Amino acid sequence: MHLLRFGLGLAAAVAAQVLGLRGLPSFSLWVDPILILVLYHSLASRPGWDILGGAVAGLVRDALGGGAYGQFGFSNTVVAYVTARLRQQLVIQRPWRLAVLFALLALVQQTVLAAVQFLLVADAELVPPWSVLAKSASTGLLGSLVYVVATRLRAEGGRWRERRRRRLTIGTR
Amino acid sequence: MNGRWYHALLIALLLGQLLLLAADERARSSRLERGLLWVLGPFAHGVGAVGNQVGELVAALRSNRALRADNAVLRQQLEEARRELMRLADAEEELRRLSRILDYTREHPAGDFFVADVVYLDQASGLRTLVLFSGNAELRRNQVVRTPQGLVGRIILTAGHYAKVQLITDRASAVSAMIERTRRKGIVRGAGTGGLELHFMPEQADVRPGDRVVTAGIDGIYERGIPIGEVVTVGPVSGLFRRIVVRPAIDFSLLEQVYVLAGGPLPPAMAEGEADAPP
Repeated sequence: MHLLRFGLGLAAAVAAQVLGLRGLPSFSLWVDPILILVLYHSLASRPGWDILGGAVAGLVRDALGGGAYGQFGFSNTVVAYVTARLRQQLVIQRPWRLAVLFALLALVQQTVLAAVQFLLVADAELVPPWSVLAKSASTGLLGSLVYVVATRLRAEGGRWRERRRRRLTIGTR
Repeated sequence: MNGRWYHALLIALLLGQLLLLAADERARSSRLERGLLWVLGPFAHGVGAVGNQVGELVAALRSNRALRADNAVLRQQLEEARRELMRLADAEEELRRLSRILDYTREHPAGDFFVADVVYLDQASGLRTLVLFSGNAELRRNQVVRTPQGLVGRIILTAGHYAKVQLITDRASAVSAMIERTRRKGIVRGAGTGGLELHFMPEQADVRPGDRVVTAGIDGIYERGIPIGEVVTVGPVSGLFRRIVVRPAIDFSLLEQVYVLAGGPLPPAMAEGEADAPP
């Protein structure tokens, strides 16, 4: 179930990336749907699955992009690990604080990505600074929105299952 | 999962990805990347097609009147195009006749190309990627991708009927080129900003803004005469050479279909790593 949910999320993120680029050629300078998925997945999943999810999503992003293969895999694994560690340390409930956390994590991912490119890729083309800020802001907004909506949906689903279980229990008496 | 196993998994993942990063360019055609492209290519194709259908449906519903007007304009343009086609057919016949007189033979016969759909295009970010779908045509590494307006790039990775293309605006790309007016040769490379730079033009070379830059055909990949772009600025001499900025001949953001030149067999050294085996 967990794997299926992650697979569906990844497919949705890739679809958002493809459709976004069709609508706006500079989409990937503004938004990174796969990073949003990685952050959400790292906050919501069990230890082990978080970094595995980060690595798989990063390698998928690498397969869609040019440049050195593994750069997104590496940076998304690192940011998934950082997110998982923060999840153990912090309890954040207010949406705006969540947005700030997502934005800061996006900054971490892009810093690691830039460092990997700078150190390991010959003649690397770095992302413009405005794009780093724009992507952090969009990740903050969209990531917190996705997190809040998904959390509410999961809670609703849990309540629905509970009501159904009670009804079935009453029905059998 | 306890802490020790968790950290072991983290280190294994990071080391694995560092190894992928450290692999040389030929190893880019790794089974992993090809396998993922094998899955992602059709998926992106499908999503794009659905997106196009939905977009077209919404647009058609919104702009019925505009469509009718467009239809009339397009019919008129079609009529003009037909007339132009007839004129060009005459010109082609004339060219054939003159070519026979000059004993001129083309390296590649006309029609030695096929049309491919652009499935995924990210030309704005530093990644500069294009993924193609060729239908039933065979795709090979180093095949040239172009449009009627000019050069797009070359295929660097194939996965079935899908292929990844290195755009000429990529910083890692290099194309042997020449100034069409003077036949002076140099190397065109991606400038990293979506533009191009013409390298190795000495101080005494006659280069002016507005000069057309075309492929020189001496690198073994790109045939001669494909438009690359137009000289925008000719900078001062730095070292032995001038810094020349070139504007690409095509607008990459508008690419929907491209031509892939079928090309002949590559020299053995260049054909290495061309295998297109499924993962």
